[in-house]
Amino acid sequence: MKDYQPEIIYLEASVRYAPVTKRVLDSLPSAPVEMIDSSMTLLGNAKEWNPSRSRAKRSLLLAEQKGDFFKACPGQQSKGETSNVCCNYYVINFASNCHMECSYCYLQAYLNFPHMVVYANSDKLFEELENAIADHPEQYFRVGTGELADSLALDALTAYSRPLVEFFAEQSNAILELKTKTDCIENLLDLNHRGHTVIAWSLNPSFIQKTEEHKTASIDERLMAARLCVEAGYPVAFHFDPIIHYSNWKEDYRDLIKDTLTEIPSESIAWISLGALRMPDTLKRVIRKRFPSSILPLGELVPASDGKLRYFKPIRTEIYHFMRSCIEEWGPGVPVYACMERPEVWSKVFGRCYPSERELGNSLVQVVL
Amino acid sequence: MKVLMRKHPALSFSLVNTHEIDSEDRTYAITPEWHPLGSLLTSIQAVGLLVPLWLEQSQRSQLRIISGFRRFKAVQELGIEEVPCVVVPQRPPIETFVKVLWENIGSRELSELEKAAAVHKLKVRFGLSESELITQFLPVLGVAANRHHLEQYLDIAQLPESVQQAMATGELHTDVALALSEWRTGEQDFFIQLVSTYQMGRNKQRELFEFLGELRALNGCEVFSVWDRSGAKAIHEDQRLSPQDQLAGIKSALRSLRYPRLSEHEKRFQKLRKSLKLPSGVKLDVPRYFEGSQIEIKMGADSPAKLREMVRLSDRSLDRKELDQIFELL
Repeated sequence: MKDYQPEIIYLEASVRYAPVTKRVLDSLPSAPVEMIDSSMTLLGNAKEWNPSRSRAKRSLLLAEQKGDFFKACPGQQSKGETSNVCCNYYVINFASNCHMECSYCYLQAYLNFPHMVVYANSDKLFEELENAIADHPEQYFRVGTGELADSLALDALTAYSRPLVEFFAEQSNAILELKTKTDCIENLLDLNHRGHTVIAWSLNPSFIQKTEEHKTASIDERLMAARLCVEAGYPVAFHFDPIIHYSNWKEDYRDLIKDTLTEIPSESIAWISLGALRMPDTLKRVIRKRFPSSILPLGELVPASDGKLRYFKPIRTEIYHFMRSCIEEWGPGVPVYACMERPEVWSKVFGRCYPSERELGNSLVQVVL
Repeated sequence: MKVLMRKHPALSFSLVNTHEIDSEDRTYAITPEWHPLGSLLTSIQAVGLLVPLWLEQSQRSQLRIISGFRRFKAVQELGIEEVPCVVVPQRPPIETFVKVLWENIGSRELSELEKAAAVHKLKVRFGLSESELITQFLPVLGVAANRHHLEQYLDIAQLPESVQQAMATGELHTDVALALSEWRTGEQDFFIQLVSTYQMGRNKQRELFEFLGELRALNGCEVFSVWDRSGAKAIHEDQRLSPQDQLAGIKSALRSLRYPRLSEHEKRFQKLRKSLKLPSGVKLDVPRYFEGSQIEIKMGADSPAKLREMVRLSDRSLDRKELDQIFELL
């Protein structure tokens, strides 16, 4: 994995004394720091200059999160005939953007602020978490930090993972999932996590990792990191997402699943999720421009009911069937679910569809708690 | 009426022999050299050159055109040997170019190609920074001041001549022209010819380009091979079809090759639906791209008796096993 080294740090005055700020600045002693009153100034500049996305990511903004840190996953919000089955997930937006340059990354077409951002007012984050979890003792919470950023890509600078893991260790109805494509696990290994944090890796065959996930850790590095986390007592998870349909996909994914489930004992795996490539049409155009040699836009992608381009449904179903049978072969009993898929696809692949999102979410939390 | 006139100390009209003018030096030109002269020729032929050329003294032996490239070309074509000119002393080229640009902006609407040429010259020939171009020049050209537009205009300036010409005639849309630059010259000309033959609007151009471009990338071959293999060539050459039907057939052939599983599914659905032998006036449809789990039936009748009969006949059709097979497609 390529470490992140910003060329400049913009610091919002309101978080200049925050512990997260201090950790980042201590970790990057040679990076120039510019104090700003508000990130709105940078947003205005970004709109005018429209720097390339890669260039904009060389600037790191330490900002105050003025909105909510803690939210329901946006996947839960689609309803009706267009709705997909979601897993009742919650997200913590402690950072936004990612420097690892995966060609399929939806953030390219989603974020209007092009720089790397870390929200440094962590006091507010923990206050929100405490309130939400304490207010609903009857509810199980499965919470992730990997929606707008990789959970661990900046952990060497921020060490955000440490207080989060320690916080969730104390909860009886909530678990944390740290989802990553890195091998940055140094901050995690000595923590008293009580098994309430799941460390999860997104995985793709090495061919895809090398051609589409440009600055990420190699698959071997990710599996080695997973092995170390298992040794440190953590439950781990794997997300085969996005699964790419290309000429050699069956052989490559079969090998990947075999390697993963041979390396990591099944009883340490909390869950495996499956998600075939999906993207808004705008992202397809961004991929073409930024990554002209990417094979992703060349798949048999059609507009789906949620407005995204997805592989034609029989292809998705075939992919999930195949992946599920491989997982069953090498890791029997490991819980498997499909991420953001249609109910009829669920029924075809799993033989049933959960009656509610909460039921699916709870079943996953209970694997861990 | 008394006309008050004062002679400008630096400017005076001269009649200059065209041989003294350097026709190769296009330092200050922003209009492409190939741009057709149109009615300029007939105008000069009728009344002569009314607006003089502006020239500057050059360190080379000949005079350099500052303004009037098209007029000079017309004069040459008409074989006129002496033209009225204003000859000015040489100034730093960037200064003169900016003046020319202002003069053009003030007198007419610049085309996209001319704006692109101006931006490209300012950057490449005169060495202006991106920041200067974005803040000082894009707004003057009526272009939104950001890097995206700067890059787009720089790309337009470097498009091959044939692509620029198709853009200039309005046949080829800018975003398709820019995407087309990734193809080889022969492929570009082929696509431009198609656009011209079928008089495609922007959306149709984009759609055809996308099909051909993606199939070309998928198969690692030239566009001609895709054209042939898909059957589009045969449809294109079928004189029995109207241009409209040819284009629809070409699109369908390319779509089948680009989306083989979907096309196969659609054909199967159509065959099964036909086998149901639904009464006329009854329509059975699946969700778009088969994304969904429900099948819809629509029927319409103008009397209770007809509707009852329609339902009765439909009922018989829907008892067939083909209905189950249609559901299996979802």
